[in-house]
Amino acid sequence: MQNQTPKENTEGLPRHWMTMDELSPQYWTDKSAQEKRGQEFFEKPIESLEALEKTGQAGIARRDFLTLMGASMALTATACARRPVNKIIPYVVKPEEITPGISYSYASTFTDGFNSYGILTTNREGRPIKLEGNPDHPVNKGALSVRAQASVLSLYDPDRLKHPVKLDRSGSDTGLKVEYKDADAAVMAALKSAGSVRVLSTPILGETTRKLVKEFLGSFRDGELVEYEPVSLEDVAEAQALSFGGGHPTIPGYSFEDADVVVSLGADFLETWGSSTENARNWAKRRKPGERMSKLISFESMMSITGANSDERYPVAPGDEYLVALAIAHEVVGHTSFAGNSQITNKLSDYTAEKVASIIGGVVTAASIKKTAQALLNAKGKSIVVGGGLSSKTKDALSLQIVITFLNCALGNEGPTVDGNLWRYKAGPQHSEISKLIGEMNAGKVQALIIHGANPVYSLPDSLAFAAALKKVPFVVSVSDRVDETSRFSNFVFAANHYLENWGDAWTNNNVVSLQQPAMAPLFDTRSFEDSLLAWSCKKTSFYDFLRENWKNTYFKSKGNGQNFEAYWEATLQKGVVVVQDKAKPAPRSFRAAAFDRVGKPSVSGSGMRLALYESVGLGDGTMANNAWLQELPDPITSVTWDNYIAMGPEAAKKLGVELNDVVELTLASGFKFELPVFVQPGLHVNTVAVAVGYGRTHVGRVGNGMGVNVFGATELSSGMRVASGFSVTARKTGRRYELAATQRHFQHEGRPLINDVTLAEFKKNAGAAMHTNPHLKMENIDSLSMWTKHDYSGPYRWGMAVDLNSCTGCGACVIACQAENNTPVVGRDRVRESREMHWIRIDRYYSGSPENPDVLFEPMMCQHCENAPCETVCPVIATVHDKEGLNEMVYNRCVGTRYCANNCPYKVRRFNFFDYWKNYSETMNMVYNPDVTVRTRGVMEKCSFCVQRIVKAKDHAKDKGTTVRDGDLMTACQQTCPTDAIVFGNINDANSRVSKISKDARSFRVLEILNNKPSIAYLTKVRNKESEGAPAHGHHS
Amino acid sequence: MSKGLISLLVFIGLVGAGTLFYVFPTASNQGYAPEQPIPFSHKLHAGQMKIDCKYCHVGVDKSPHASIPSVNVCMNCHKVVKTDSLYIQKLTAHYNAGKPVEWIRIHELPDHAHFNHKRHVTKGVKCETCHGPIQEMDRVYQYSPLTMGWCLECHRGQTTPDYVRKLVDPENKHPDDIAPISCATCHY
Repeated sequence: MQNQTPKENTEGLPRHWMTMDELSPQYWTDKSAQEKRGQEFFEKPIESLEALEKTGQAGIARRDFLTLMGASMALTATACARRPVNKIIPYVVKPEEITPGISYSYASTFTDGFNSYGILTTNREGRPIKLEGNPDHPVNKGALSVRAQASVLSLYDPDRLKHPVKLDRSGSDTGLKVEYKDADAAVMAALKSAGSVRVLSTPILGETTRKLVKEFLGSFRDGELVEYEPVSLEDVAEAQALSFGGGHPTIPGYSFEDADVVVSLGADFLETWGSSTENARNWAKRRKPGERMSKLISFESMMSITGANSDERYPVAPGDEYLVALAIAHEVVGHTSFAGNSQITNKLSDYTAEKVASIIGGVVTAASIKKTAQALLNAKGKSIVVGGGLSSKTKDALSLQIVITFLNCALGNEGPTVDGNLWRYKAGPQHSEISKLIGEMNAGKVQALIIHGANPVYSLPDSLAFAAALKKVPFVVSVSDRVDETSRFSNFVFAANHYLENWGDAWTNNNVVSLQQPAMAPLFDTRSFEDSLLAWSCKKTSFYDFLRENWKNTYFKSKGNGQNFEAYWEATLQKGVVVVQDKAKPAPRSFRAAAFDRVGKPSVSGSGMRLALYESVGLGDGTMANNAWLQELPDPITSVTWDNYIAMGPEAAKKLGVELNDVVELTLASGFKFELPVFVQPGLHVNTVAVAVGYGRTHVGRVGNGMGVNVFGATELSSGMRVASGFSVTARKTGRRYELAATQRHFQHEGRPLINDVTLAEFKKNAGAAMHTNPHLKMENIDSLSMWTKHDYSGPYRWGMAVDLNSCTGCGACVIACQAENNTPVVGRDRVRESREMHWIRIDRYYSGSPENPDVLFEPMMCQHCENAPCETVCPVIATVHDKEGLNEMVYNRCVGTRYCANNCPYKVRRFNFFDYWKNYSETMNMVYNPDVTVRTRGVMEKCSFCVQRIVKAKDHAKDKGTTVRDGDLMTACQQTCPTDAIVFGNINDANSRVSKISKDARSFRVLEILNNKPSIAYLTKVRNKESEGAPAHGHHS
Repeated sequence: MSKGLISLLVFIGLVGAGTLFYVFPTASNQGYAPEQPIPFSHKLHAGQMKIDCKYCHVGVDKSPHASIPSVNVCMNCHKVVKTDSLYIQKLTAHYNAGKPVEWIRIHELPDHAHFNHKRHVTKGVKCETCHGPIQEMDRVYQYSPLTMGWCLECHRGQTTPDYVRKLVDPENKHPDDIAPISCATCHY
């Protein structure tokens, strides 16, 4: 049996671990290691004023503060303290729909690359302060991703361009302020004489905008639209077109809720690939342990969210996903209708499981490939194979996609789980478009270029020399929200609206169109891209009128059901989304064996290190790099904030002789090289090094500039597609060190077991097994031993929460939702290094098993609202108290900052304001604050409040109606945004509430039950769909 | 006792008192009656003219904030009423210029405390119970202390007016538990 505190008992090592040093017995026995852990902070905090000044953090150190405090006390003792005179400034004319103090919302649309999600804004006094998913939107159904949640902060970004500017095209980003009138005249004059005009835009999802752009370009002799997206699914779309012939390239709809077996070959479909919010929700529906629980198997290079959530995960080197695909196809093809098709079988005959396994090595064996193939064969018509994404987008990406498409067809998934009738993108931008444009620009064939949002100077490799080509265009005008890497080479930059200030629509898939309406008037002197186009084409209409007119002639015409347009428009605005076409029955498409002509031999090979690029969960392609919430979001897997890094496996790091924070230089065959610190990531193949794109912006703003290194330069364009991974690299140790702001060592629990997992096989045999893997998680009959008197919860409410670890994918959306709702401050990279991050909810990531290929668990950890709360008993000023509804209340104005509570909290969920962090929000940023929640000042403790302001509001609404709060009336911010419904909050005094029922599940456990704290949060043990426990790490556990 | 010791004690006492005064400043602004940019008289409007409070303070039964009326509400009458007054001309100038009137805030809760007008007003608590004889005030002053103790005394039933008591607890079942007193009722 494992001991509760391994540091006192060297026999047992933790079954679940966060960092690899915990697997070494010395970690628990070595005196100096113990001492270091014993410190309040893993790194020593800054105590002197000079040191602080060096870090550039405005603020006063504690001792100086006390000195000043003493002096000022003496001074004020003689003066009279009267509160300052404050003013009340009402409206001159109050808008009818606004009552100060009451929030209202607008339905709108958030777009991110190719994805569009319905949102509801929460507006206070005319400004959006929080975004939530639109529950009526059929794609995201109320959930929102990390970036969608954070996008509200970008609205108030003070580094946005506030007015149009004229630039000298030298690349300088400071321009001369110009009036719209003058700038428009200059643009129109230039366009008049230009025969060939190109519009370079980020993907245009809105049909109306597309129509406008087409009309605009139609007025030129040679006008063309070029769409550009650095991270695109062009490989999937192209393979679909080749495999099924005809039509346009599309991305099919995947029904993860209908799949018994999902095999992912590099595609992070739960987080960064495809319609991830929708995918995650559908996939999680089948993750409840039981007969219908699905199985997820993944082969990938970088550890992604999808990989971390897999039941079986096999690390491969970048590019080897393709070998695995061929081997699986080889195993499968004989059992399908394609068995006699030599066009296909000839291509596959070489790739036996044995051969492929021997090439890949590591933990991948012939048996594991055969097992995967067998699992797929056993679930014919009820499985999905997906692949792709940056980390597997090698030169073989198209071949990989064709084999995957073939697998889905051969296995009978085409139709039942892969729906070609529900396609998502009309024409995914291909990189062939942008390379054609570069050619035209260099040949002097483009006389005027209009850039909308696209930033190829940042996201294209230098070898394509986009900036140089740009200089050959006589007239360049950008519509951009900032003078970024690309738009600084323009003649004019027109300040663009944020999407929350804009009208528009978005084509979500072929059945659903989402309407975008502004949630506030433009904050600055900005204008939308669409209105700019209208102005330049001398049209007097606004884009709003254009949008209405287009809807009237299209969607209203086909689906208006004969009502009057105004009524239709009002209703659609209110709902935010419209189903324009009923979902067609999936019709299986038949696979054209001729597509296999394009399947090539694997071109990525070799035994050296290979680079995989990937999109980080927070920043994605880097467009929102100036968003401090996203920069400070700990990566769900590595927990690193504010930087990118070179991730390599423990074996690779050992071979290279490096450890965490050692700066390594990577050089590609193309000559591109960069230096980044190393992060040793368990579960990577020995030949894998992985780096996130989206960092290293130079012209994005004060927050994002110079954070990390831009590695888009490593990519290449090859036959019209972006190659992002599989490059051979040589690594060189520089000998320098750089401290990554990683939070994984923060708020540790000294090896106390906080989490639990079992295999499905064990669970089926005995549901109680979910409880008994770790005796310290469960404590029966502790009441008889308790020294505390019981609280009286006899009122109508007692609030509680349940978190299902089987559903939680660790995506981090709850972290940002909580930050937005609760005015949680951003502290900056240096403060994160000192373990002073302020997030009220953190996602603990645990590993179990061997570091070569561990299992991963995610556990959202926030204030447990304990019945016998250890924090309450130690507060000398009673600033944290228990209430009759089970809440552990935090009273900011009583708190004097002794931090005893944080020390005594076994879950380490309390956060202290060492500085006035609210000052980090400069200029317009404080408009994002939620007025219902106090903004905390220096010296005050804070923590999760179970969104008490929402509880108060829900009770208020219930009292208005003369009832009590019913189940479902109230959701916490984290629960609301969770794509997988992992978090359920409610009244546990109501036996019929969802939370009550879930809390009684066989898997339910409370964290550190042995301490008799009686947390109000029930966690449900993670059950993995695998036959047996993986090999134990080191030491032993039983 | 030496003079030095006495003066030291006096000094310590003064510093101590000053410190206490600094750390816990006069919590209450009771009686505060600042001069307003326009000397609006509640005595005239609410008292003599008997204009309903909710005509101007529109949020009071809908929102946590009673809200100060926007200028257009004043102009509903003052487009025609008393246009010869200098103050009304000042008001009209504000309206025409689109410039709000900057009223001096009288009733102000400490930071970190939330108060909901709607809950109290819809329950039937009269404005005068907390705001005093507003219909007699030429210049509004803060009638109640608005301290936490003052709130709690009413919530605990110690100072609750009888009519409120009857509204909340007509059968007098819980005379000392009139309204919630948990911290998070107001502090969040």
